[in-house]
Amino acid sequence: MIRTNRRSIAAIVLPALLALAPPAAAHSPDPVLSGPLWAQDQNVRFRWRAGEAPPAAMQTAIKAAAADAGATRRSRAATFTPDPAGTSWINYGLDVGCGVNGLACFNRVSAPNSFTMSFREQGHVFDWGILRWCQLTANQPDGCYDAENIALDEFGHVEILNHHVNFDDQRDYLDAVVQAYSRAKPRVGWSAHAFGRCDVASLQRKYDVALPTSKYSTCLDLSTNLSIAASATYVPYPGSVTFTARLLVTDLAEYERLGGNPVSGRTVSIQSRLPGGAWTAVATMTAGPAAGSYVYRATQLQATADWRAVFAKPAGEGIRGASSPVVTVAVSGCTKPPCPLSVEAP
Amino acid sequence: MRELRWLLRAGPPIAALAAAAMLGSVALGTTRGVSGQAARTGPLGAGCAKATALVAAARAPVPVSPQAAAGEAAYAVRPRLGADGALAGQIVELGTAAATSVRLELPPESFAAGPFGRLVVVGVDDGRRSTLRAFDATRGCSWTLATESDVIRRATLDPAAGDVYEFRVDRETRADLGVWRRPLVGRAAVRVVAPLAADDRHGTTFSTELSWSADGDVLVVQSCGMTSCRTRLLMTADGGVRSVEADDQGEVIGLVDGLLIAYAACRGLPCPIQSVDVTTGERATLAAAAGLARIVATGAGPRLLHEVGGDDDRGLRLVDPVSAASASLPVDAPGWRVVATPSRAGGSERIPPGWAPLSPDGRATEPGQGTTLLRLEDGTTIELTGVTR
Repeated sequence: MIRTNRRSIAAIVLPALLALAPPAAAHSPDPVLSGPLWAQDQNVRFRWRAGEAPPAAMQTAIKAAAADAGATRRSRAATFTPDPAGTSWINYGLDVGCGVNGLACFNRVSAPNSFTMSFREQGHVFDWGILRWCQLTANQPDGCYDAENIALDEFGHVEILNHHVNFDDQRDYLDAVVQAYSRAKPRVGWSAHAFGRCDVASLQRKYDVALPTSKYSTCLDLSTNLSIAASATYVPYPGSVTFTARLLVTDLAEYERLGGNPVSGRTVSIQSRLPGGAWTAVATMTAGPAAGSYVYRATQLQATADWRAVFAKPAGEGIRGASSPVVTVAVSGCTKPPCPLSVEAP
Repeated sequence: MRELRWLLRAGPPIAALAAAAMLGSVALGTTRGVSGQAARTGPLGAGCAKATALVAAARAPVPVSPQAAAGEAAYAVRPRLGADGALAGQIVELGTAAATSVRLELPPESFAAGPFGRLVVVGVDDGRRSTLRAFDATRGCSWTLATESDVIRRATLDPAAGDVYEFRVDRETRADLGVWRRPLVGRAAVRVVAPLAADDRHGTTFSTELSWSADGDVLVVQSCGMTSCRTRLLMTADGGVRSVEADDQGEVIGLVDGLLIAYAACRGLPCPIQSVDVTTGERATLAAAAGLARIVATGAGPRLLHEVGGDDDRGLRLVDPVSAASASLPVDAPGWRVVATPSRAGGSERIPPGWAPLSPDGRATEPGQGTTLLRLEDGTTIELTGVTR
């Protein structure tokens, strides 16, 4: 029997060379892979590949890693849920996607529809010796690899993360789970079950943070922009003014999804000074109605003064401090001289 | 897709018919060594006794047509897992697209490489010694090539020179012992590539693979850590060794016209494919986000063939490594994947120039299961259907 179904070839000459992205500097957010992202907060469902399911203890570890990824992403990155009807699959023991090295591997060419993930079999023989998964080895001897840690690394790849670039002395190794060289027991980091801060940093850049109140990874160093507006810049004596500040992540292209984000729930103070004088803290502004807004109502104003909002760089977060421009509020119109200051209405 | 049931047509190769006559897999009933096969074929393999036949088998010409390819050597390696999920051994099947000639159940530390002409090299370590054999995959007989107390991790053949190259590690320490060469027939081995020095940038070596340049004159020795790789090139003509240590080097795909073509150090797909001029170190990106890939022979010279896109929109690109010029290549075969390099695909088969093998998952098709070939010139696919055993 001969069946023929010939298709003509539409030869398309493609552009020649595509440059690789420059390598990330040590201690930076993880580099990222090429390819499409998942949708924000997409719940990606995976199953065990038929006939190639991992042993039960490995399944438990992989499912735990999926939960770890969701719990520690600190972003709107995808989550992963086991589901027998899932379009993504994970297998064990056959590794065409893995190549010759490594303990596990992934394939995200079909993102955002599906992914695949593969784990080497217990007992796989490498040049250095025999692979032992801790979960499949009695008493978890030194030298075994933690399947939950390795699976979390792979889920990080599936998200979009590439390997973290460590300092030469590896002192920042714990900043990322997505590592070129995962560690075996008992080396530091061998059983990390949460994304590191530099993993999170790239997930935040690519997928955004969940809320304006969400903390930015300390592996980031985002500049912020603080604006201020006064309800009036000329008030009678003794007057009142409402100041509204707005704190945003500076809108820079390299910040990707984080640029322009409103930043809520932080400490923004308001300061004032008499013209030519020194700044004095007045109060901590309270949360305003809009995301990233902070308000303060100044009452009994008796003198013209400069005002500004100040956001001090917070500890434990990867955003910089900022000061707003200065707004001058003039006070005038007193009825019982001598008035403290006399100005003309604008 | 054109389906060619070649046994129903005139002209299946004689060797393939012979293989078909032998038919069936040989369940060796042992998981240690190749004793079962040895019992069947004798120490040197039935019908494979003469050394001259060994060299001739290694030099069998490349098939010129898909029909001829149906009778060419093929092999596939699959892990065999125990009830506890641990690796219990490797199953190596040898034969052609039409029939399995030998099925070997081997220990975990074993491998296969090839085909070289009609030969597939099979290495087996029983925990005390390593044994290398060359099987005539079309006939199922074998020759013993070497027995060593060191662990032979990988081996390959240079059919033109009639040499065997082995990569070895120390049995106790697993230290790299370098690459050794021995004639196919006679004489002891000599070390031709020194052990690789440790390098923290790459970490412990997970795997060292041996492959050949497109011209067959340069042995590519690539050692990979958990993620990144180092490559050394042995010029077989003069014994010179050159290192290629490009940053971010991943698994090698091929060596073409002095260009080492390799993935970046990705540990997954998609992954960029880069070329490195082994003389100048100049690098170029041949694919920004590739799936499975291999080097294919064409009338215009070797080309990089790689997947692009995912399950819903997968396509192929054919790239000239030298000029980086490329063309897209739509394929009308649902669910296909490119059969990758032998080390990644777990096997290989001999195919004619101008064609590339496809399979449902990128793994090498097991002998006797037929094969799907893609004609690079016009996108035609042909299925060589295996015989029913």
